[in-house]
Amino acid sequence: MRILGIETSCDETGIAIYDRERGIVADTLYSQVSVHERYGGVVPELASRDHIRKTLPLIETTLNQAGLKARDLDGIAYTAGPGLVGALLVGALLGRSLAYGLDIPAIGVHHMEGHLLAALLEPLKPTLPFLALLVSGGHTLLVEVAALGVYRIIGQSIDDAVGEAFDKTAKLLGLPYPGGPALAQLAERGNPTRFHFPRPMLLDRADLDFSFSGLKTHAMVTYKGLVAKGEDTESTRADIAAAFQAAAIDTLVAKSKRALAQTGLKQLVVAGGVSANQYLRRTLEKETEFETFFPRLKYCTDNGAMIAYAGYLRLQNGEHSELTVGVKPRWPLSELKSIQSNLG
Amino acid sequence: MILCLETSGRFSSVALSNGSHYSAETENFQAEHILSLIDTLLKEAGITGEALDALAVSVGPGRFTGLRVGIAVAQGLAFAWHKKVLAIDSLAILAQGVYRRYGAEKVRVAMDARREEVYRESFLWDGKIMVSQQDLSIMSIKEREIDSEEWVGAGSGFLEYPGLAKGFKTCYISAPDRTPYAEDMISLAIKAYQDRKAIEPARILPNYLREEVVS
Ligand SMILES: Nc1ncnc2c1ncn2[C@@H]1O[C@H](COP(=O)(O)OP(=O)(O)O)[C@@H](O)[C@H]1O
Repeated sequence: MRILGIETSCDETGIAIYDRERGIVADTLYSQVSVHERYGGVVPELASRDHIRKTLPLIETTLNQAGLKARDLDGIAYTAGPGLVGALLVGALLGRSLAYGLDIPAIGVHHMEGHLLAALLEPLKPTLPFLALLVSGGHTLLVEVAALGVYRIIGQSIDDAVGEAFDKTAKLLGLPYPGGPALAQLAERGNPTRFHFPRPMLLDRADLDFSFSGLKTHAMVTYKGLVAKGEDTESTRADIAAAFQAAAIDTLVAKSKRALAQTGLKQLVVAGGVSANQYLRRTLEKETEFETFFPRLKYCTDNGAMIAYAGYLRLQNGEHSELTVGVKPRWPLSELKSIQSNLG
Repeated sequence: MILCLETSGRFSSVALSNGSHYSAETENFQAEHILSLIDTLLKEAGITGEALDALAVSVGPGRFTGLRVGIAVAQGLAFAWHKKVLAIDSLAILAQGVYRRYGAEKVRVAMDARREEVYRESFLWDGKIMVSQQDLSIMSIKEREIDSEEWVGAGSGFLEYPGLAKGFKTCYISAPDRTPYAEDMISLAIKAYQDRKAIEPARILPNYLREEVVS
C-alpha cells in the first residue's frame, strides 16, 4: 500500500510517498522563504500562487524519485487544515482530483496530527499512551495521546504561539525572515545569564497553559533600552536572543514536565517547527525521569512525509473523503476520530 | 470529447463538448462541488476520463482562488488520465455567452477587478467563435473605451461602475451576463484543440493579470 502525501497549508509545498512495507520512499520539499522574505512574513496570496505552480511538478518529481507511476499509488492524503484557506485549497483539490482520476481513495489530514505522528516515522518510537508537545508557528499545545486519533488538549498558548514569538523577537533584533531558526542560531553564541527574562505562567503550579506575548514584549523593552544606551552590539543581541530562548524553552520544558507528572505519562513526543530547536533538544535529552522522542530534523518543520503517513493510518482505518472537498482553516485537534490500528 | 471547467466566477460549472453541462452556485471560495459535478456529467454521458481527448479550464482573469481551484482540478484529473489541458480566457467565455443569448457579434467585456479597476477585452464573432482582439488588459475606471458606440458591453464592470457604460450601444449586466459558464467554453475549447493548443497539465497556470498582491 502506497500513499502520496500533499502538504500546502502554509509556505512550503511538501510531497512524499509512504509505503507500508518500506516507510517513506520519496520526499520532496519546496520552501517559499525567498518569496516571503522581503515582506517579513507569509503573504497568503503569494503562498497560494506558489503552491499552484509547484505542487504538480513536485508530485511528478517525487514519483520519479520513487520509481513509481501515478497508477502505482493506492491512496492520496492532503492537508485539509488548519492553515491558510487559499493554500490549503490548492493541495486539497489537486490531491482529491488526482485520487478521483486514479479511482483511489483520498483523505484530508489534520496538519497538527501530521506533525504529531511524524515522530512515529523514526525507528525508535514511543508506545501509547504518550504526551505530545506540539510547537510550531501557529500552535503551542500539550496533548495527551491515549490512542491514535484520541487527542486531549491539556495545555495551550493563550496568546502567541512559541514559534511566532521566536519569529517576532527575531524581527525585532533585525534578523532575516524566517526568524525562528536565525534567532536560535544567534542565541547559541550568546550568554543566557546576562539578562534574565521572566518564565511566563510558571507560578501557578497546576496550570498547563502558555503565554509568550509578555516574553516578546520583555525582549523588546530590554533591547530598546540597550539601543538607547548605545549598546546595540552583536554580542548584546546574541545575549538577548539567548535570554529569550532560555526563557521560552525552559517554559516549554517545565510545563511538559508538569503535564507528565499530572498525567503519569512517561514518554514525551516533541514535534512541529520549534522541535528543531537544539537548545530544546539538549535540555530534554538530559532528563532521566521520562523518555523524549523527536522526529528527524527535516520532519520537524512542514513536510509531505507526515501527511502521507497520517493519511496512510486514516485510510487504513477505513476513512476517506467524499468528492465534495472541504478545507478547514480552523480545526481543533480534539475533533478527530480515533484510529483503530496497531502502530507500524 | 473535451471536459470543460469554469470556476472563475460566482458559479462552478462543467460541460462536455457534446453539449451537456451543469452548474452550481458557490459561496465565496467554496468551489467544493466541482468534482461531484464532473462525476455526474461523466456518468450521464457514459464516458470515462480516459476516453476524453483533452480537458479545458478557464484560466482567468477572475477570482484568484476560484482560478486556482479550477486549475488544480484540471491538473489533477489530466495528470491521472494522461491528458493535456487547454487554457481558456474567462472573458472570451463570457463574450461567447453574450453571443449565445443575444446574437451580439461585437462585444467588449469589462469584469470587475475591484480597487476601481476592470479586466477588459474586445471580441468579434468570426462565424464560429468570439475572437479576442488581443487587447486584454486591466483598466482604471477613470479611463474610457474608445469607439464604444460600435460595441455591446457586457460584464460585472458595467454594473459596478455605471460610468463605464457611457457611449455603449447596449450593456448587458444581468446575472448571466456577469458569469462565465462552462457550456460557453465548448466551441472555444474545440477550436483551441484543433489549433493544437493543448499543453501538459503542470504548465497550466492562472492568468491573474494583477501582479502586485501585497496588502
Ligand atoms: N531552530 C528553531 N528554533 C526555534 N524556532 C524554530 C526553529 N526552527 C523553526 N522554528 C519555528 O517553527 C515555526 C515553523 O513551524 P512549522 O511547523 O514548519 O510551520 P507551521 O507553523 O506552519 O506548522 C516558525 O515559527 C519557525 O520560526
